Amino acid sequence: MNCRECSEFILRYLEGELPPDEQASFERHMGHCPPCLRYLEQYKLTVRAGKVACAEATALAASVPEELIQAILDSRKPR
Amino acid sequence: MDSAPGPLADDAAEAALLAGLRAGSDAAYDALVRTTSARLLAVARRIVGSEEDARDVVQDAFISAFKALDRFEGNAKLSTWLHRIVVNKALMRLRTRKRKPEAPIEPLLPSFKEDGHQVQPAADWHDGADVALERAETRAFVRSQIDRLPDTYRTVLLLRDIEEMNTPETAAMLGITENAVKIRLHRARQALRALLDGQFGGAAAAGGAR
Repeated sequence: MNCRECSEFILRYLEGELPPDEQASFERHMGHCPPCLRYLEQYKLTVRAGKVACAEATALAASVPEELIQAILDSRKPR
Repeated sequence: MDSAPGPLADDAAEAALLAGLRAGSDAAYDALVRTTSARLLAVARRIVGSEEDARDVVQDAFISAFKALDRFEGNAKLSTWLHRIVVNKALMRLRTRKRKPEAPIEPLLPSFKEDGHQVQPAADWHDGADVALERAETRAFVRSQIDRLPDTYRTVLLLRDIEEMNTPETAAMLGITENAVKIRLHRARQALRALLDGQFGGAAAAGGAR
């Protein structure tokens, strides 16, 4: 497996979807190709960064404007 | 309200709330909206971008949910059910809001030489890349870079990685195949990695945020 193929297989590798022989080949490549290993680690960190950054945005969304809440509740009432 | 288990997390409380909703109790509706809307607004904001659109989406989603309450099976949590409705409405809003043509994603993907090696092998990210995430400004930067992804890829990344929907669900929600979800997710992550490279990488740091 070369660098290009490894790059394409990262997602399937991380999801455990590679057949055993391809997984072994992927890991063998990672074992002797520092740039690909670095890329793999950065890919994983990127996924984590997205999760952490967006979780914060959700946590920070502490309040909703009262007018929006009232508009939603009012939508139930026949006019 | 954050995403931590709130009043809706408890099964008994949820059953009581659902009974109240079905009985048409104003208090139950009030409780539902007040305990779930902040998180839902954050979800809508992430997908549609603008605050105004996000509020419309949430309001629209609740109106749909109220109408569909009779058909709510109770095999999902109310909060999960509402979440899916909001995601769906937000995606619909995105689709109707035909914006400028999407930028191609290819420039953000790795390119390879004929021998299969990367043209620009990944350079080290400084040791602090992980630690940097503990800073609010880094997290804000990451969010701003997700926003830069073309919608086709951004939506898949949001649904899979952030909203934590699985591949079949994401495929159904977007009307694409599961294989397309996997391909787009991989491309989106690769592109985001390239965008973060400017912040976390040593050599590319001069390129900065843009």
